[in-house]
Amino acid sequence: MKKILLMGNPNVGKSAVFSRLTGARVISSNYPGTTVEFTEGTMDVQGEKMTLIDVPGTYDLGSFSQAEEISVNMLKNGDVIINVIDAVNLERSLGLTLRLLERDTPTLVALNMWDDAAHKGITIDIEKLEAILGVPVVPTVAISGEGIKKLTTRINEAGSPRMQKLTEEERWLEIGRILSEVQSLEHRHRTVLEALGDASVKPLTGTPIALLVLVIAFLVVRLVGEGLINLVFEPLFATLWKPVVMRLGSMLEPGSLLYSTLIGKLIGGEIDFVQSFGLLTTGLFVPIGMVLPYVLSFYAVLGFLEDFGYLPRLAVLLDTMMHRMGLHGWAIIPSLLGLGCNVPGVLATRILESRRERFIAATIISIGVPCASLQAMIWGLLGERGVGYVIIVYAALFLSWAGIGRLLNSVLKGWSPELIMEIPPYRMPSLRALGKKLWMRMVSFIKEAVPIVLLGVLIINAFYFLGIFNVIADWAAPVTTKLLGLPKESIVALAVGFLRKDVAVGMLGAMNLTAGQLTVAVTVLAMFFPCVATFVVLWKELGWADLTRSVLIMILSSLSVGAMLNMIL
Amino acid sequence: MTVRIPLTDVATEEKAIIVEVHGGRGVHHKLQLLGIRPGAIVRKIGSAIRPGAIVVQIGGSQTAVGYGVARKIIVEIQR
Repeated sequence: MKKILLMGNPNVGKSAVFSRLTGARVISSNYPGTTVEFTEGTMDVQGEKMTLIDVPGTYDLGSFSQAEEISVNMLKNGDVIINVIDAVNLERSLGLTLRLLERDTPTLVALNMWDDAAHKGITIDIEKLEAILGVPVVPTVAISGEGIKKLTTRINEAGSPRMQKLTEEERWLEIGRILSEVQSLEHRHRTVLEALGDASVKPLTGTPIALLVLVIAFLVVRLVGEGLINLVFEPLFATLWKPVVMRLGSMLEPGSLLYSTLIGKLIGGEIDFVQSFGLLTTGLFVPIGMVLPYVLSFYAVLGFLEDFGYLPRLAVLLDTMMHRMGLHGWAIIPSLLGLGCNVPGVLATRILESRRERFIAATIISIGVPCASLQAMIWGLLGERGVGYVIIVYAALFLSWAGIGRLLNSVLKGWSPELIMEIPPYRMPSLRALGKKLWMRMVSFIKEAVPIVLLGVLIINAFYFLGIFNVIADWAAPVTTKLLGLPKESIVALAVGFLRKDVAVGMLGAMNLTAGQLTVAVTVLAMFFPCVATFVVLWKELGWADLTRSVLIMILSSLSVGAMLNMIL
Repeated sequence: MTVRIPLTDVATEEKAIIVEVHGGRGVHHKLQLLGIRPGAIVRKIGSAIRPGAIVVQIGGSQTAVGYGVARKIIVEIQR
């Protein structure tokens, strides 16, 4: 099959063009670097099936970050290139276009965000641009789908004019010449969104805006999450699912292996969805009844902030603070993504340039950034004992995140690169795009979380049955009881945390701990060791040597923080 | 009077012309790709608390550069 590559600068809408062309769903956001690995799909070009590859954004064919390096390597085996360029930033976009046209792969140009250019008073003479470049130029608005059909019909016209190789100086002069011929600007007044965008990156106005955004985001996640649990999910489980499970239970022999695996133990003669710990009770209730509502509300809010374009501005404001941790402002974005799930958080560290930065960022995400599943369980079980305890957990995690970052920065050799990044304009997100992104994230949550939770519950039952937990508990007893002040069997929950941390909190919740003990336990659980999914990504991103170092840091820091909390509480 | 100062010393909303860009090849090249090169007119939009990133407007787009990088971008300004 022929391979078509979608290439362009970061944040010009390649992913949006990709999902329009293939009908596939891929995540796109309003900030550079959303795509850090390539995505493949198939599309139909006048009856012929072709492979379309969404290549991570690049400004040039040199490489600055790992993500850009991927793009350059991809270029070698493409048959056609669709170069997506930003109509608002023609000057910047054409740098890459000219470089692509120097090579011999047939190319055509999608002039995207055509509507934005018009709003900003920018007119581009497309016919003239086409004549100068010698390849088809199709205006598109990928978000609404305008021009996409035209783009497919012209793929076969893609050409390779093999422009002569220019030096960098000559190329910028050439771009200047092209711009003067094809582009005309008309002065427009600043829009409200533009003024708001500018106010967001000044310390005096930006700091209150940042606080307001974070507080509102937090409240919306909490209220929507709790609301969904109390009004929708809990009633559904109680009225619809409980009778089914009871009925099934009455057909099985109580105390049998099958009964305890499927239904678990009865609490006061009743099924307790949190404490019974059977596959059909806790195994389904934890991921769907307790965690899913939070994951849903978290990603709804994150999706809005992403598409609106707020995150890069937050990155600017936090740049000074992040530098103390050997990172630059951009590194806040992987940590924010980590609040949903650490896996995309760690993957997003690829946008950072140096290995040192990636190591620091990935390590502090694994230690101090609790994923939405874990947070949902912390609110659900520890929140009942008092909001104060939850605040202690968050404070301990935040201080560890910042403290370990600073520590690593002073201990590790090397220096940290500076922030250099494009700040996208604020855009009102399209509800359709938001809905689609949320849907994709929910589907992947259900596909990835539910089976592992069920597996976790199954293993827990099997281990209890075989008595393996007693062996582990006795072996680790000195650390668990003396250092952390927890009952010795709580180590079992920490071990289960390797599979999924939400299940582990569920186990802790069923252990009759005091509020203080539960606080210590969930803090240690959050920091102790990454869950298996994160572990695999850390290994892929860091390699064995750094993964081992990272894990040692996690274990040491979680035990010290746990011991300190144990002394205080 | 025309003065030459580093980008870090430009006041918010002030306009300046870039005259020199120092720094390593990689950084230099990356800045050039984002439109930060001698001759370009920039307007400072905002920044983080000193010493932090600085945001400038060049043409239709905005770019943030770290403090260390901005210190090595020399601009000319009317004062």
